[in-house]
Amino acid sequence: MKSRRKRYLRFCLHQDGSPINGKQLTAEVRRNLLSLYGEVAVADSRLYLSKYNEDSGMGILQCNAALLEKVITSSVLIGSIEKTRVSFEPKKTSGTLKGLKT
Amino acid sequence: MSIDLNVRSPTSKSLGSFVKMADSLGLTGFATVLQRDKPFETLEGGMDLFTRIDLPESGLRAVKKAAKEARPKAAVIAVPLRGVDVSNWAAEDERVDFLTLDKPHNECILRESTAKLAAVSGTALEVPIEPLLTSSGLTRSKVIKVFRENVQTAVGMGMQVILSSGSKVVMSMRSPTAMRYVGLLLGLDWKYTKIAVQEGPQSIIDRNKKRLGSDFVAPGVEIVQRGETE
Repeated sequence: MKSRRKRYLRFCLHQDGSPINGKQLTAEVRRNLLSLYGEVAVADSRLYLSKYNEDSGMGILQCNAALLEKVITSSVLIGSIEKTRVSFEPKKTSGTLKGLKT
Repeated sequence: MSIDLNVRSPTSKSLGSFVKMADSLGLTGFATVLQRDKPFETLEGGMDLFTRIDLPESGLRAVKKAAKEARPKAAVIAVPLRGVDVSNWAAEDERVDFLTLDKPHNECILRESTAKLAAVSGTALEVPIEPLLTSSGLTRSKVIKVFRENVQTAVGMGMQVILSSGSKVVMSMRSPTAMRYVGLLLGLDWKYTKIAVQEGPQSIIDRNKKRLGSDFVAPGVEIVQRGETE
């Protein structure tokens, strides 16, 4: 039985072009996760965008702890979203939202 | 401290935006293929800039000649991983810093014998991650295959692996942490990714700074004190 523990990831999405919204970002992370690791990984990931600021690009992703590494790798390999070139920068991971602030 | 040894800024004008991006990603320096006056320099904001020269893909004689000319001018010298002759020579030659997988396709095969030679002389295998960002689906899986197989050979033979961005555009640059996750995808373990992204590139720069210094004579031989001539 796979762990159901959550992990939170604080990130910054650097953008060069029109701003990317949360829906577009989540969809692209899922698409890359599917392409790299397959349907089971997407199904188990329990991916959710907790917070996201379109202007600064700062946000918090929530996912299954067991899939954290794959989620980050998939996100890092996103080159562009809707013709906007992006660079995904993982900042910090934690088991709690509170932990991300410290 | 983290540096990216492969930034392919197309013009001197665009270099400023690469410096800005490198700064925001937490890099302390990067190597550029643009011709600079000095192999090592520090910009006003504190960003270190290194000159990188990629030797031509032509025959062995031309590559040898180019290496001789390039060494005093470059902080890092790279040779593309192609034919056996050039790869074996580059692996053995201490003037060459990397064998690079710049255009990953099925002909880019690092032989175990080449990796063994490189491990002895300190030549590293450079993996620029840019092709992973610009491809998708089956094309990307082929790139991943070439990268993973060559990384496995290098690590198995004790050859150092270095990860770089190979970025032609600003947004292809990645933070050191992001690069470490790409390292995991290529089959490196988490501990080794730190060597491939941070410690390895820094040690290559430190080594070459020493080598290009006026006190260096040969590996293991350097001038510690100069005598006075009458």
